[in-house]
Amino acid sequence: MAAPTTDTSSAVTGPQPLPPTPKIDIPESRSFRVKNRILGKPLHTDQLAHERLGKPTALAVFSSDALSSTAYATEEILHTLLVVGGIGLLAFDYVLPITIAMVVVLVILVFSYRQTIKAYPSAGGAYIVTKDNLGLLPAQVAGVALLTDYILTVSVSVSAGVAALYSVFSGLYDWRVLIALAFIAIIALGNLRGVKESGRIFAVPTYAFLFAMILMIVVGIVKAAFGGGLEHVVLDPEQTHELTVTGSVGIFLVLHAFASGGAAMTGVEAISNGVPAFKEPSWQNARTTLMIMGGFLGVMFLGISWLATQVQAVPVEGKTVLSQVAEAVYGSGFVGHALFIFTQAATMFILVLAANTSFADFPRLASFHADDSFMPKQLTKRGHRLVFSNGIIALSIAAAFLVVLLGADVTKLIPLYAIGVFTSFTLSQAGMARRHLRLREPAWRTGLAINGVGAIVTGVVTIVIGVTKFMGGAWVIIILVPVMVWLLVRLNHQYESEKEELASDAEAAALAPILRRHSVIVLIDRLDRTAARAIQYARTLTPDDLRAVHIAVDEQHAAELADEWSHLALSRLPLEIRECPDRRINRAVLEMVVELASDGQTEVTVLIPRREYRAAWHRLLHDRTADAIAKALGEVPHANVTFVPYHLTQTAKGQHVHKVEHGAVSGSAAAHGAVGGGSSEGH
Amino acid sequence: MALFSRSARAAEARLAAETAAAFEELGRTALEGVVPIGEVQWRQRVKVAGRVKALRVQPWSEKVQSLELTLVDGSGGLTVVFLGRRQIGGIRLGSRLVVEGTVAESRNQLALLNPAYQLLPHEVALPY
Repeated sequence: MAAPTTDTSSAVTGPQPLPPTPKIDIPESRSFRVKNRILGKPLHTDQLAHERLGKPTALAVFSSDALSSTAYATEEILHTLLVVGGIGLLAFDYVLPITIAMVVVLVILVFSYRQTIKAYPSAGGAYIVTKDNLGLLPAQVAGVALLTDYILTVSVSVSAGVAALYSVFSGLYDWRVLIALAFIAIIALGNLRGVKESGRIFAVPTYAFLFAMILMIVVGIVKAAFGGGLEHVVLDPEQTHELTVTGSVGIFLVLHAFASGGAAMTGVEAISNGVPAFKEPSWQNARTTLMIMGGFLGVMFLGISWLATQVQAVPVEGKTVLSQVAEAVYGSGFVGHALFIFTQAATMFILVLAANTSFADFPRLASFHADDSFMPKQLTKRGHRLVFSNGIIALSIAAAFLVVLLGADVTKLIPLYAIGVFTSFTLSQAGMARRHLRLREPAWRTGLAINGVGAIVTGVVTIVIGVTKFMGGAWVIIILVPVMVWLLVRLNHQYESEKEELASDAEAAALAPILRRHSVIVLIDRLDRTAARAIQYARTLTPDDLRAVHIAVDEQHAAELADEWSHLALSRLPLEIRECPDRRINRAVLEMVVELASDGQTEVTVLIPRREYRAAWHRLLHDRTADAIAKALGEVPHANVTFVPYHLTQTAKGQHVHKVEHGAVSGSAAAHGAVGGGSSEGH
Repeated sequence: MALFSRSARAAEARLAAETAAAFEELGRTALEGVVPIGEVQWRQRVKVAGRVKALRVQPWSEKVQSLELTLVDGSGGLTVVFLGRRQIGGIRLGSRLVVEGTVAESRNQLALLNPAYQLLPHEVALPY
């Protein structure tokens, strides 16, 4: 393409049009090529379009987190009553009332969030609502609490998904941590590739799970009503010890069980986070979807708890309560077994999907924090495939760490869970109440009542969870959240003071008179092509004072260099040899630069010739003196460091070809590049 | 034997004492009137002693060059220029010198041009 243009350019007079894209004869970095291979081609920024979802798809996309928690919520209530409380068969009398209490909280939450959706149709996450109404600091608390819960959602959902798997294939029980890690890795990779919130991926497992649960509950009811009741689960004799009575029923135990069931409420906020994704009229559609989700969640939670009571499922290692219920309901016939397998598969898939929703929410929330300078700015950057890659990676690492630490055990993870999400519920509902008081829009009294009740109830639940689960592990979160908030505030102060300093009198600083002198120093180790290149560049700068400097670590070598230099007769370019008795080159350079800049009138530029390597291992053959020097000089005012690159390209003959040509595209330069480019592919 | 060794030891000690005295004498004569470099003023005739901290080869053309040194003591440093010289025997990094001349200016810094110089052995302590 370019060749004929350059050939004819001599014949045609006048300027030529620019080529379509500048020809860069430098191969992409290896990391970029690996990324391309794994993640696919980089997406164009314009492709950041939000698809609008209809209600059925939106229900699938946003409710997988909430609905999937029914897969383990009942089990956790039972676990608390039986294993922690040790109240034996009495436990089955309490499961349903506790579930009903939880559903009452759910109803309050759903109505509270209806208010939020209407008030914040653009994005009404707890962070935004709290920030808007209560200020930045409470918003950090809400945000951090929610972030920790997103991490836990991944850990809990994946662990529960693995539990659904090993309840069918008991041989996989020993491999549960590895399988959970594999799930996290797959989800992370999918999200790094940029899995769109595309309906189809979500719709199938979510609706399959809904169908499986409703079917199971209906079959259970029918069997109980007309088929002579449900049979109790048959347990191994060695596992029945969980039914022995060792404790008594107390208010604390009931509250503790209630708190364990709180896990079912996580994910209710998802719809309010994603209102803009709904089809117009988005807030109305979002409200309807929220109601439908709340309805399903309540029915499923109640149904599963009731069935668990009927069949007297007991949480044991290696078999989830839900799988025991399914087995008991469907029986051991061929159809029954097939339905059992279907239920387990649907459960596993929806749990994995629930983990996936965290992968959408965590990076977005983290980017909100970072936008407000409360988290590292890297979290606001969209990566290769337009997703918040850094947030995704951070979430996967944190979730994987938890899974490994707690052995992919849902029961051990649950005490950490739910307190964060209820903290953010409380703050966002309090924020909504404050908003009603502030704005006094039409019907604000009703809104205030709903959100006020929501704030109080969720606040009470938060305290209940905090107190009852404190010993079990909630203390970690109760300590972690304030510490994290403190860290974020520190970070924010740092960012703010930086911003302030950089912005102060920027215009005046740009117009300030420049310093009188410019000294340029070329650091030289030996007389070679890298040095020649740096000297050439230095001469284009036409400074007031130009000198080559050699730091003498080896006096013999320095003397030889001085001798060579005097024979070279580089006109008026002196070579200075400085002693360095302690062999700390960067210190010697620093000293010299400080000396030069000490008059306050001199701008000092240090040119460092640097070899650029095509392969990473070539770089390992040399120390990083150049970087160390640059770092040492970073502290000195008016000291500037410029690296002068020399690209090492080994041709077949072992001859060094200098690849940086001076801009002009000539035939010979193109041929030059082709040779270099061809050979570098081989490395 | 014992007698011999005693006399040998005595001779050794005597020699050492004489050497030390000679160095002291050298120091006294060579360093007489030396001032700290930090107190040197422009256009003053001075005698200073110091250590070569940096060497500079300044080529003016293919034939003409000058050798410039940065001479430092505890109080400060100045430039010493030997015009027309590429190298001077004995002057290396770390060498100790006593130089005497009139302070001029070179590259914005105080400089002694073609001063009278004397190399000092390491045994002689610098006064400043």
